[in-house]
Amino acid sequence: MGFWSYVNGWVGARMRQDEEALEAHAQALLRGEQAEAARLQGQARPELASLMELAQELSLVLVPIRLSAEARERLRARIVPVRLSRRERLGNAVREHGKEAFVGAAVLGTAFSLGRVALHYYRKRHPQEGCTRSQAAA
Amino acid sequence: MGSGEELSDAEVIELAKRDPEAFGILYERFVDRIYSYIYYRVGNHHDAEDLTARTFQRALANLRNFECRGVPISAWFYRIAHNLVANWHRDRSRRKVISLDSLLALGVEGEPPAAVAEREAEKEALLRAIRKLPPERQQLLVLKFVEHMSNAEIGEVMGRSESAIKSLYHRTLLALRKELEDEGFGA
Repeated sequence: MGFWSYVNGWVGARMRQDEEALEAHAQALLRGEQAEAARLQGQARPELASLMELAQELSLVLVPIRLSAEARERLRARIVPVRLSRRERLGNAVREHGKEAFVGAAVLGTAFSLGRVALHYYRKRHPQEGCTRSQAAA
Repeated sequence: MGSGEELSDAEVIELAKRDPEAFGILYERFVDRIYSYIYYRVGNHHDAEDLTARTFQRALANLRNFECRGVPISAWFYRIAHNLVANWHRDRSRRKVISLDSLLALGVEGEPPAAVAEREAEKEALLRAIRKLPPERQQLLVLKFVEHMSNAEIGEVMGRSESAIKSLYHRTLLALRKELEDEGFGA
């Protein structure tokens, strides 16, 4: 048990050390400090140095892309809304809130109908507690 | 509407909630970064452009629900882009589309054609290997090397701690090296 915890601790410490070394190397690359990156790579053991070399290749291949003015405008036209006239805005508002009003009316209407049906059956079962329309007419 | 350069991202968001036209300021600030991110994840300009447009459209549609809680606005855009790219990969998993057109066409003038071809083959292999990595590892590499984000910023985008990102970077490099070795390109 003691031996394995010692081994695990050693492996964990080594891994953290490697992570720190890789991070320092990556930061040097991102700052454009090639000499510092090369120095860190030179100091690292071969296994780690090969990962640093790979990171260097990544930093050369993964570069920011700048959109052309044409592509930028083409995209912008698809995304950014143009200023609408008052009439168009009013139309949009009616469409947007009209949908909500319709749903609200449908819910209320359904609730009202269900209530009427429930009241109808209630009165049918308890005629003494109220009178039906036909009784009232009689 | 002015250029809005003096406004912070959070202020622009609040402005855009009242006037969607102000969203154009956010578009100008983030479009290149989001496009780069998506391009490296999908590998062709046509789909990258389409997904970039959809990222901003979705952001605009959900603008009213967005609340700044100390997380950078860019993290929100990257999350939307990440989800759209994930859907794109899922939809297109049946066929592979890797066109490295213009990126690979960037040769150095005066370099012998054989050397250019070899370098491009290596570059292509590296990009192909990157796209074979799990999505979160691809995301990490793009945010780190393309966007030059710190581990803390990457952590905010990916919802992980800084030390977890450091560890993920190590594992990503190991996986990438193995992928390249399997393809016959020793790192």
